[in-house]
Amino acid sequence: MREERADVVIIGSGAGGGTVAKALAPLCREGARIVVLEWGPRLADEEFATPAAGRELTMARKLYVEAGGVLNAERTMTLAFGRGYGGSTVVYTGTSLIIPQATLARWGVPGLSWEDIARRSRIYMQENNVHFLDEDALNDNNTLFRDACEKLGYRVEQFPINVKGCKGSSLCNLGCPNAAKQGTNRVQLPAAEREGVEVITNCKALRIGEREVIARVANAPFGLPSPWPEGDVRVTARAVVVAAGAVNSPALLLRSRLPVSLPALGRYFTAHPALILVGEHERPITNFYGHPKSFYCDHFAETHGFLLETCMYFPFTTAKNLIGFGAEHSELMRRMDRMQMILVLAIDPALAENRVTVGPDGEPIVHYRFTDGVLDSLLESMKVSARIFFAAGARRVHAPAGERFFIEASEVDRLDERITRRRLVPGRISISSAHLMGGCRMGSDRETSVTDSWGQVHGVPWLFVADASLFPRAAEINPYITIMALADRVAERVRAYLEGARPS
Amino acid sequence: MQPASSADPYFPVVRPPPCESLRWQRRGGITGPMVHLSARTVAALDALARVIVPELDAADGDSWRRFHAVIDEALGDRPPRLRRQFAVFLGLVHVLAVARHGRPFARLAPEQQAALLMWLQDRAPSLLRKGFWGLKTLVFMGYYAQGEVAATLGYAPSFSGNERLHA
Repeated sequence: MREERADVVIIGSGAGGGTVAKALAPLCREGARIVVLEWGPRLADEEFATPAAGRELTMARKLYVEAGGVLNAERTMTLAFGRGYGGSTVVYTGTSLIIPQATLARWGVPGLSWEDIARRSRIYMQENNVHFLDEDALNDNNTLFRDACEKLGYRVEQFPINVKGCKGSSLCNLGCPNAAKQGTNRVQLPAAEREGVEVITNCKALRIGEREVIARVANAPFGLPSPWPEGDVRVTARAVVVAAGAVNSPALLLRSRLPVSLPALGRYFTAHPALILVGEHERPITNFYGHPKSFYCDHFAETHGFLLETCMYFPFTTAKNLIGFGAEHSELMRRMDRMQMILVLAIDPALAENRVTVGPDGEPIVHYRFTDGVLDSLLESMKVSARIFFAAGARRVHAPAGERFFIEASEVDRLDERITRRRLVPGRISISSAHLMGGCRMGSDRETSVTDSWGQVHGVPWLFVADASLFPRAAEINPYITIMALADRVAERVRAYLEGARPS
Repeated sequence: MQPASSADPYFPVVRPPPCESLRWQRRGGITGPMVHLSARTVAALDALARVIVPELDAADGDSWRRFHAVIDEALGDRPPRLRRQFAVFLGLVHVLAVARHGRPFARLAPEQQAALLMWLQDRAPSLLRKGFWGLKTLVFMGYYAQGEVAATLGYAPSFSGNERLHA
């Protein structure tokens, strides 16, 4: 087995790993060797320019684990998370929000203050050029949602997003073809590499030992080859930072022989379970032109436990989220240019039994069951969404828990009869998640948490976690900026640890 | 290098023999249009697909080849266990049709076909319901992920979408 030595090994290059890499990069000037191990490949810019029509599967296979179709053990929810240089920041829509104070208070992590998280969040929002799009860059899909929410008296806000030179491809979730989205692949990782950080792509961390990582380099059939030769490698380091995401970070720690017992490892997994609803308008609207996600409604977050966001998806993704088949399904699909879409996300509780385990092969298994509260939230969110669609002028709506495929505008006052709990059956409807959180939660109690408020693993001072698996509860917003803020804290602790630790 | 998990499409995987293990699938005895499903199982898939996506009824040979190729590739990315489960599910639909109506699914009247699938979607036991969801997902993938289909949907994306916002 090849041997490599480093001062810091960072596993993962997404929002967490990329942030830690850049934050620690100045240490390279002092002679430190910092290595990022990224499971997936780095794609050349021209690979993002795959033609727009028909790129859905091609890019999904390149950018997502299992092409975005990982299922939980119960086969009731699809999990979508990225893999590659930049991780999930390559495939999300770039919405960037500071976690609300009330949410952080609910997290209840001693030593974690909202003021600190907000301050760090703003640093990265500035670094990533987060801003509001101008009105003339907003498409109908978004403005119809905004205007309808305002008409109904629902609080609606514009998403600030991290783009530079956005040309409105609406293909954010398949990798921006215009290099406009400011993910870690465009900002933090290149900056870190300029300072001397090495990003080793196509390199999967297999397990962690005492101050070492055993990894395997195997080049993907696309993207650029790894800077290291193929084969197994042992990387010894003074500090190891795990930032492989809420599914793979707990899995990696579970299959590693850590010297401590961590009963909470893998547990308290949350996911913001989501559904898509579609409203059909009489005439074509602009929906797949322009940035797809400009507004959100958190009016019902505290009272009913759900958020609404604008969205626009691609043909296959849209088709599989409509519950039905045959003539009606085809009829709606042929009108993609008339579709208005809303993504509903439930704010789920952190339960010990919702967890990540590993199978005999060491690969992650996500065990997740929906609570009655989550299903109630999803049900109510569908009715609210239908009202929004009709207020926006839609002629009919498709709701996953609809008694019939279409709900007509004339039925707007009968939504309680038209959208029912008996139709909201896991396994029948398409529930998905792209906000994967928990599994290595922060806290002070070693029985119910894995790390302290600085991401340092309890009882293992050289081991850190720096991604959404730190979240003790759901973020209640898009988690991206919060991940970066927490990762920034972790980097600070790693630096302090290195300065205080004896040389290896 | 040790072989990596066969569930990971990134790693070189030796493709398994094309036919699954169930005896009834081997009765066909001919090679079919897909690597991961027998000819008989593909026929069962196609009969279901025509009901799920009616456009497939009028699709030409090229469209069907693309349909099969997309699904075949997706099945190839999955572990053998899941491929077997899928083939078993297709067989179960055949059995259900015979049990209910005395005829295989492909020979049922359109309303009988639709009713059986609707039962699978809405009222079947959990395992069958999830199996049907998986079937629909694959069929939709095979059809709607084709770039050639986009124009028929009114879907015409552009890398420079902003230029068309106010056109």
